[in-house]
Amino acid sequence: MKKQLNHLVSWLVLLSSVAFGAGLVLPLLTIQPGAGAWTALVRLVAADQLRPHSLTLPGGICELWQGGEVCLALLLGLVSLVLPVVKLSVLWWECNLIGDIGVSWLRLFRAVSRYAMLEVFVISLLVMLVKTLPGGSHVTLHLGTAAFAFSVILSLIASQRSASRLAAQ
Amino acid sequence: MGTFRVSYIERHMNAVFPRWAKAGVPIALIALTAGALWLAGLGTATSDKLKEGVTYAVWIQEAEVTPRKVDGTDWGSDSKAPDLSAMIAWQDHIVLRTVVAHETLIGCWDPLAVDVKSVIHGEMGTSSVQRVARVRLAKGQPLLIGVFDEYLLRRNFVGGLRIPLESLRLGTNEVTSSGTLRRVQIMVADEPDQVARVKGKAPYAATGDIVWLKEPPAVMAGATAGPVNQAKAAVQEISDKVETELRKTGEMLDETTKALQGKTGAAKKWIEKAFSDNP
Repeated sequence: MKKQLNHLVSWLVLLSSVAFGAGLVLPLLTIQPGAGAWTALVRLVAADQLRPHSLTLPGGICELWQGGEVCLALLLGLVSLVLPVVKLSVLWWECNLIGDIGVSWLRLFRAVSRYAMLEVFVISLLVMLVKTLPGGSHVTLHLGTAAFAFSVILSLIASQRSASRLAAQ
Repeated sequence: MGTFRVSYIERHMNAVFPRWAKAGVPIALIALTAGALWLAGLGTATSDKLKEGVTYAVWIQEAEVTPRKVDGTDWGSDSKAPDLSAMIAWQDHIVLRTVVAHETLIGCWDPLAVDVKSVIHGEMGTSSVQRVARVRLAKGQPLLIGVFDEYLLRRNFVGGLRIPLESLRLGTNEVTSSGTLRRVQIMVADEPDQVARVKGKAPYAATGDIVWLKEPPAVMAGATAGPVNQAKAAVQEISDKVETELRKTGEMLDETTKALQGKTGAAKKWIEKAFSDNP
């Protein structure tokens, strides 16, 4: 029973890792700015302002960094890039390397990794924000968002299973 | 089944890799997936490759020439830089002529230009403010690009190239050579409203079956002597008009003379008759 649960968690972690890797590269969303009734005129005189803008997660973090929003870029990089990797690694270690890594280290990593995958929350906030903008601006979500969401769901299930297994132990 | 596979993988991994290497499996998997997708070109929302059945706006953004001609001579007699213009031909027709960039070694052209006549006539629209060529991806139909040095009555071929549309990407495409025409930036945008979207993207070094031309392509050969021919045609038109007007005037004079002669004859007869009646 314990071994079966171990294998299930391992598979979930592996799948979640693949989905996370895909989410890093695939575009998350495209923002198409609009200017309401003036869209045609703005397109003529300042078409640059209306160009659609696609975002990937690393690309978005780089843009924030270059735009001087260093703190926000660091925060987003931490919760979206570093902590998810830590979380998946911890889950993997719990299943496969439990004897090799100290329990106190595992506890620390586990505590930290709770804050991972906040990017889905950030994306949903961004989508809501853009939808409230005037002028017909809209956001199109791409496969990257689905990959991230899938990765989050799998890692949540893996985390729950792993926690119940550890509690049983 | 799953249990068997994991155990199988586990046994083999333990045999091949040390246990510490197993710790990095999720990271390796993330990196592998991201790398594979990146290499497959899925890192952007839309591919920059041109597709069949789509109309694209193409224009020349920049053309740079060497400070001297290939034979070492200056562009002008008084150290003046050349007056550059460019043309794009597609499917045996010239589809874009740029304006003349005066006295420069780097000619720059903008895809947006407001035609005052259109503004006056209230015909402002996307097509009236865009100075671009519209092309479609078709096999065996490359773009022909020619850059010229403009004079008052003639146009000298500076350099050119033949480039397949498949070699181009959306955005800035840059091609370089060691010839007189040193560098050309060709811009490609989706039709009809995306001309500005592609500006600011990093240049793509176009590769493929690019041929640099030393002579103007046949479709532009006539355009090389264009100003001379245009001047000749204008002079011919003026002389034709003058000839027609002169002929008309001559005919009118003839008619007037005949009418006067008729009237003079009648008066003469009347006088003769008067004298004969009253001697």
